Amino acid sequence: MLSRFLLIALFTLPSISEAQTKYFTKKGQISFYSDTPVEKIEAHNKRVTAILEKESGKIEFSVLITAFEFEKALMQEHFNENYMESSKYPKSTFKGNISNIQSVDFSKDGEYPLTLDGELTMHGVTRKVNEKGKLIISKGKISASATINVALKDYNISVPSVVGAKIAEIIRVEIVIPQFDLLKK
Amino acid sequence: MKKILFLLFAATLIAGSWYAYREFTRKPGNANSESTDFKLTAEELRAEFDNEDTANKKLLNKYIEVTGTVESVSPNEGTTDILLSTEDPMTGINIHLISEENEKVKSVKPGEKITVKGKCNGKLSDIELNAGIILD
Repeated sequence: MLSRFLLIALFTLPSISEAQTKYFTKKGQISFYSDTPVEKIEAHNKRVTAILEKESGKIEFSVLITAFEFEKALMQEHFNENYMESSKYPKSTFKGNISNIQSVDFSKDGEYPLTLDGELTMHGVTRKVNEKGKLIISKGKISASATINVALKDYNISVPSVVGAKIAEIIRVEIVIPQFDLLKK
Repeated sequence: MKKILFLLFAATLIAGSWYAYREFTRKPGNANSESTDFKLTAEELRAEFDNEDTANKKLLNKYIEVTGTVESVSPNEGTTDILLSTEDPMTGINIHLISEENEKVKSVKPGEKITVKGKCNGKLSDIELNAGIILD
């Protein structure tokens, strides 16, 4: 009887302490841009999963590497096979916090600057990142965006010198969440 | 003899350049241009991902024909996503269609049985396929 009570307590207690308003989307977008005088390369992924906890500011993104779409097949193949090794590392994630979430008034329309602190995992390498973004509240709807500059060498992504001139050392990664949907109260 | 050698050289150069040009401008493949690697039901595909590592090794970047029941059809930035249901309410099969399917997808309704084909990208909350088309 006692063990049963403990079991129930075990399952119900965490859910009480973690009561959070969660927002979720499966249609976030991540695009990246590599600009060099020789070649401009860009790729887009429109199926990014993101989850945001309103009270704590906890935020997570997940993206599948093979879902990035390029204009040219060769770029897409090199990206997957040579640089990101997507069969070995199929996912990339960001897990972190919006450290100034308290400054966002979710009931008032407006554009709120954000500070993102967390860990970005890509190509099997996890690194701490600290970036700026913004959260937009419009008629009760929440959208968000952020730009992260990623140095390829930080994530052990090496580009052969033959193609080095075509690929920038720092890649601009743009994250856009067109709309967060309420998940659970 | 010199003339023949010159002609051979010129032909090789032209063929080589043509090949390089074709390679460089080649568009990424999609479910229309690529052959089918696997035919599965939505539930069979979900079950493959019970072991995500094994499923990724077997299915990543492979073109799969998936038959299942449409849970939802939703626009996504100029194209459409079709979600197929599985026995696990938390995990569906999400197919991101190519924009050429924009007309055809208008007749797809939730609850219908459908066969789609796309390239397997792996699993997030759903199992994701892109470069997709509607087959039946």
